[in-house]
Amino acid sequence: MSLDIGVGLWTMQSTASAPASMPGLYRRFVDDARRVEDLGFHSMWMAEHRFWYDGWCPTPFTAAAAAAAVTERLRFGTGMLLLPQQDPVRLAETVATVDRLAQGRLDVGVGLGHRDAEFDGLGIRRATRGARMDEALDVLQTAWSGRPWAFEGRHFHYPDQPPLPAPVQRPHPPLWLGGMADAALQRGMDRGLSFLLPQTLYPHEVAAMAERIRAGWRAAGVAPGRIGILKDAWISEDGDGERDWFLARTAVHYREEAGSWWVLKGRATGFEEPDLLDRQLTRIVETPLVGNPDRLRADLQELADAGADLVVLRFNFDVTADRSMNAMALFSRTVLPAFTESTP
Amino acid sequence: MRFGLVLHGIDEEQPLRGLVAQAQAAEAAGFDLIWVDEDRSSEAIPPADRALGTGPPGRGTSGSSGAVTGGGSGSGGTGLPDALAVACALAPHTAAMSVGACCRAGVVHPAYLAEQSAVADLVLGGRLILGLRPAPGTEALLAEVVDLLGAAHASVPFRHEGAQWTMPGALEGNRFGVTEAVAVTPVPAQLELPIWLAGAAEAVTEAAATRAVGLVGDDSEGAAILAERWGVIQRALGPAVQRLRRVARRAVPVGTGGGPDLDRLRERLADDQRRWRMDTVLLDLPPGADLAWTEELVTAVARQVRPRLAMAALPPGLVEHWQTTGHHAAAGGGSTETAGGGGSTETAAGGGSTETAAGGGSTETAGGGGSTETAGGGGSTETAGGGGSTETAAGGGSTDTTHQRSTNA
Repeated sequence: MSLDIGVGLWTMQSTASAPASMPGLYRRFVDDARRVEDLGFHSMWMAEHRFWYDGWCPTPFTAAAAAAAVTERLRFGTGMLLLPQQDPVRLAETVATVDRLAQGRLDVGVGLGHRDAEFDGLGIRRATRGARMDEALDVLQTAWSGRPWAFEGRHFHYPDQPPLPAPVQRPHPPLWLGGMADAALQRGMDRGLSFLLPQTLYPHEVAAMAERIRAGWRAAGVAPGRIGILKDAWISEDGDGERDWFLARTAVHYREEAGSWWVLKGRATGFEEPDLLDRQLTRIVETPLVGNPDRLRADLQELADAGADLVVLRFNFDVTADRSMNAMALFSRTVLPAFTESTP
Repeated sequence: MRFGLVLHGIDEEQPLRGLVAQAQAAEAAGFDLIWVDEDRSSEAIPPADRALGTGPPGRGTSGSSGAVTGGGSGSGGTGLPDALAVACALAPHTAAMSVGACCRAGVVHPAYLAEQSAVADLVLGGRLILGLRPAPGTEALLAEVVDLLGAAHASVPFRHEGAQWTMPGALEGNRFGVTEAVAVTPVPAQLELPIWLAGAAEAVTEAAATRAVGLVGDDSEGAAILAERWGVIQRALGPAVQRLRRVARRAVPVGTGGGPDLDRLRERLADDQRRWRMDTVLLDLPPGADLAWTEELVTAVARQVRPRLAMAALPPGLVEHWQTTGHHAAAGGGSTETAGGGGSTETAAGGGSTETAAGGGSTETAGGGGSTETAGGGGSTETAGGGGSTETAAGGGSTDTTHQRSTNA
């Protein structure tokens, strides 16, 4: 069976509920990368947000350069990078730089981004994010060609550009698309991009989505990409022992994010719509993979059978470093071997 | 005087390996900083010079365009277009030295530079120096870039309305959570992130003088020119000018034997120190210099150049004593090339000067160098290069908002 298993998400947040030293978080990130590689995981995933009190890392691949510099096999991905908020040429440069330093170990996951405040801070209208996404994808794929290039769009104009240093991976590092709106799906299927599905899907939804995406690739006549999914996850020897602790922790974590950021029913942000917020959080505490090693093996097999090629397990959020690393170590001993032919 | 080494690409197959080796050689020799330029040229490293430890210095050409990358003698760029990402990669491989990342300014929204430099400084545990070199045609924007970076790194929400950029945008349709002021996060580890401006344009001097940030002279700018530029800054700042580092890139001259010509280097640095109080030098390697050459250089500089520039004068006999220790080439001509090309940082003597040229035994002091002739560019009368251009070479732009890039499509 072929299922790649990565871990996430390293976001370097110093939250009100789990304050931390900022330089310490980045040092830990580099140390964690060594450990995660030793544990045999396929990849380590980060994510982007900006203009937020907890310092969420707004430029994941910049930081990834440090972790890539102390590892040899581990891949580094974003789930997600907010492409419409980025300067696509600067991003092309950063990715090319780090992909060269890392000898071809980057996975570029991109999403639309949703916070008005992030767009507005940068001077971008949120309403343009779909169009910017399309153009930025074109710019990236053109700029990474290693040849002289030009791009003329509604949002970006780059006449007569000299060649940029190209990434090691050709034609470019894998592009993974987030988001499940019809427009997002169509965009990725037409381009033959890989997909990274959100963590809140139930297995039958993953299966339906994977089927739809594979059909879309076939209809577009493109080479198929891969299908990945994020999953909040926790593992312990006795299974249920830490379940309540973990799910409560997860709910607190996402309540802060969803309450502050998510706009519900187009009306207001989450904390202003407590009933809607509660309903959203139900899904969040029902969809993580939590349990003992047998349970997680079965859950992952279910995702593989549903069509996933990659699962990014989010062990790492605002729990202590030791606690999340211990869980990853346990997973590495007891579950990972079932999905990898050999661990290094 | 502080010493820095400009890193260049010496290993195209594994760029990180070559960069780390140079950085570690510099740190082992007690260099104070390393310096990384952004290199947008896709052919920065000629294939002939790819392999580590091969090829005599002085051979081969650099494909790197000096107009795009640094202001040095052209040892070639790193082949990598994002200096801040390179700085992050060097962080876990260096212990305590400062790391300068010289970014192109003016074409990238300063918000991204603020975010990237803050993250890089956190990764480096507070060891970052942010260099800013305006892209050709964007010199006039440099002051605003510095202003925006300062606001972003202050850790207090701010509004910025400048000629080029506005933050936040307060744009139609952006509703939820939008505030009148924006907080760029995270902020650097350092309370005051050093910003050093590079580029020969008058607008660069002006930005340094009005924003009280450092200035990096290019190799092509001789002591006379830099004395003049620092005069402008000093008149603007008064005694506060002392807070700023006076920096220049200096090409390492190559001696007849192919090794670094340490006497010429020392004379030029002494001259810079005397005429405009240069306090930090960024050494630019000659084209084709490989790792062994670089290791020989940094060790020789640490043993033979730095000690003699550290004091106003040395006691009679000290230099002669150093020459008896075996670690020290006799003063005079550059060390001669040996088969192995040095390579060990343990024994600098391994690089082995056997030549004793005229001039040995000089006790010349930092201030007292008789030479006013500099190795390169000393006679230049050029004025700020490219200052008149209003053409944006990089050219691109977003029209989505007037707050992004300049648009000249």
